Amino acid sequence: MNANTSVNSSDTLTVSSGRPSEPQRPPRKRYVFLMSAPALLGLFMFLVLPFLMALGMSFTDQRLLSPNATEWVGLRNYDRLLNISWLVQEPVSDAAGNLKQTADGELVYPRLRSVLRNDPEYKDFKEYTHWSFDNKRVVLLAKDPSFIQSIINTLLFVILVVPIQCGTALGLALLINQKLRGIFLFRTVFFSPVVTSIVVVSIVWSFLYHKDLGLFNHYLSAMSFGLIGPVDWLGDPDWAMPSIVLMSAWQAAGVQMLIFLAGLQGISGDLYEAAELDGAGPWGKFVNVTLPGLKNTTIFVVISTTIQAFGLFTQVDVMTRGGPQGSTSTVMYHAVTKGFREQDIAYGSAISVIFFLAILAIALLQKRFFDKREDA
Amino acid sequence: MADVKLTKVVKRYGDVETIHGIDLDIKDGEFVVFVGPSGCGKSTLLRMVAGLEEITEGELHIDNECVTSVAASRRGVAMVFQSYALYPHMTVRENMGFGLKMAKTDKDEIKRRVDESAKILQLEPLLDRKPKALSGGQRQRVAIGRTIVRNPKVFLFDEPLSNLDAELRVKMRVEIAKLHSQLKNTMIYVTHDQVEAMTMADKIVVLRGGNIEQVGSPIELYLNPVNEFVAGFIGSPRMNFFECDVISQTSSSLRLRLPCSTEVELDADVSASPGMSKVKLGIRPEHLQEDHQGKVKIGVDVDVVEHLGGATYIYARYAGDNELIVQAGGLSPVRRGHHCDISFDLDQCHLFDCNGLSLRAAQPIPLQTEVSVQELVLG
Ligand SMILES: Nc1ncnc2c1ncn2[C@@H]1O[C@H](COP(=O)(O)OP(=O)(O)OP(=O)(O)O)[C@@H](O)[C@H]1O
Ligand SMILES: [Mg+2]
Repeated sequence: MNANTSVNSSDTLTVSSGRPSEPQRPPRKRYVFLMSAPALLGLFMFLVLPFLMALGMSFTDQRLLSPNATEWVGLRNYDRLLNISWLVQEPVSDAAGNLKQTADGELVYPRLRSVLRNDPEYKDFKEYTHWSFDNKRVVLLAKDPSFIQSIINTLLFVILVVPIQCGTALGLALLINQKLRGIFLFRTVFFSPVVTSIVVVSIVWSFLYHKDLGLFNHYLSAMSFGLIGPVDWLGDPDWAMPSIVLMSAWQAAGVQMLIFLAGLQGISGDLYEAAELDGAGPWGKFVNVTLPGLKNTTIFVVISTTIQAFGLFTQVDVMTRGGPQGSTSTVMYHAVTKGFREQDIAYGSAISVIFFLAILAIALLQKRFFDKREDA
Repeated sequence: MADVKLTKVVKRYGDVETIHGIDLDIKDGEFVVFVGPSGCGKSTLLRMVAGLEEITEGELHIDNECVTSVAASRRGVAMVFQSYALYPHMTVRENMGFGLKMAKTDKDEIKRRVDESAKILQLEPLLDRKPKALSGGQRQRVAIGRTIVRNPKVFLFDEPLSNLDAELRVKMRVEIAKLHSQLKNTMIYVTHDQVEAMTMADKIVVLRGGNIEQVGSPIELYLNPVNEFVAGFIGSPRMNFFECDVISQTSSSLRLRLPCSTEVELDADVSASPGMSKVKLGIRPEHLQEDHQGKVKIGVDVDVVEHLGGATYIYARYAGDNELIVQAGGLSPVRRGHHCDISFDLDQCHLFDCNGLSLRAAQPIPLQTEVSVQELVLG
């Protein structure tokens, strides 16, 4: 109120002291703009501008270091990213019409490579996966199969890590919310992985996961009396992603734990006492007081954890480099590999743009979902 | 319905003792009010009865059953919190039925009992709303309704009205008193508002610093406070006190010199305390008169006059620095800066020794108090 008045009066002063031609804007607006200018500038320079540059670049064939001039290529990068197709193959039969079989009794199909090369419609397509049905073979094709693989890996990671990480965080928050002596120590300990560099954590966990020397395999075999043999955590395509999920949830849960803790401390103690008098046990109190009280916190935590999970990169880069057999390659990892390691920055930009749009859509959907439930 | 009996109840937080061995008998169907200044242990005592606070030492019996270490939900008590403590995500109906639901009561039975108590408190139109769509008074009614639904042996209230505005507070006060006369359950009510205490209680328990100062009916406390603290605490505006020199004493009377040098003689029970040099005289503002009908007259200088319409409060100085409040009639002509004479009767004076203990024989309680104060309030 006071600030407004003073701005008002100084404005009148300026006008009367000899610049009557200046257009009279509402002084409040100008003030607001002036005050937010530094933040807006930063936002524009480091967020909006890079995104616009990436958007522009994704329509060109720009490479990181290249003697050739950059040219517009329209939607070619997006076509390469997202174009999916399929074809159905009949088994090969001999002149008599009998189906050819290998020594193992399996049907033989025409060689995919020659089929794709000879058909202009399938130019640039590669096999992503195939399955047989009714003697026929269906082949799923993509122009960049490893991108499709990366999307699926990323989704798998998100689906696994979000519940594990949020659940762990809530559990830890409940534990450290007790009024016990020395609880501060536990808070610090549980939070410490967060402040440790993810690179360091990844390296340490690579040792823990090591097939022969790793602590996990030692524990497993000790606890099962040697029955559970050494698992090649990071070398087995089936285990590599779950291993990274576990490690990531462990590393990042501390942040969500603190947010949940703040949420817990915002719940009025009277509610717990009322529930106690109403005869609710620990579980009854958790379901009827704690969870409803943490609703907004949970929305925030789930959305932010999801977005963070989609950006999975460092762990993969340090621990598996996308392997084995592409089973841990993620969208971000793919973007960096293409854009920088293979120097195809235009293609990398296209991946980032698609990625950005996907995350935006998911965040909006999640918010819609939670908002709906609030009304219900 | 049940009696509540506290025996030598002590509460300690670590080394700090906040309740120092309290003995109290509450009869079946009584409306008992705990009053006292902030931090005196009212809430702690109530919460120990509720089972929300552990009893460090001593015993608690409800309905002749020792419940000292019985869980809160099994004591058959229900509590109304100052903050209402309604579950924000549940409707009024769900809030009221929650206790029964936890006790795995049949659905139809829950509905029947919620409807029944909603009717008592006129909550029917609100049953499907969430607490955030209710006003403060409505929320407090729901909180009370929630306790009625469970049909407890003892109702506990911890300053249930202190979040409400003055007008609503009076209204809810009457409603709670009505509820008590309707349900006839034992109720324990904590407040630091002595008007609430005076108007609602069958029995008032005055607490100070974790000890009971006096237990009695409102009229008893008003007429015969056992010490200076109770005398000052009960009654509004506060009782006036001033120190007097003792000129001479016999076993049943005292001759005193008032601060303005007037000498008076009073009946007093002083056989146990010979050789006093100073005592404190207490007189309530409503017993000081600005006309001259009282036996003793004193002169005062008027500082402030508050006209409330029905009454006038005169804040004055008497013989130097003794501050004095006089409750005069609504149309008092006294003005600020006046010097005027005030009179009073010695019968209405209270007398306290240097330890604050009352020196006067108890006055008989008028029969009229058999009609409970509640009924006076309700008209
Ligand atoms: N958890 C605790 N630890 C230590 N002391 C406590 C604790 N809880 C309460 N006390 C002390 O016990 C005393 C009584 O507290 P209590 O809450 O019963 O006061 P009260 O009479 O209800 O006061 P008010 O009118 O302000 O509500 C206070 O002196 C308080 O400092
Ligand atoms: Mg209290």
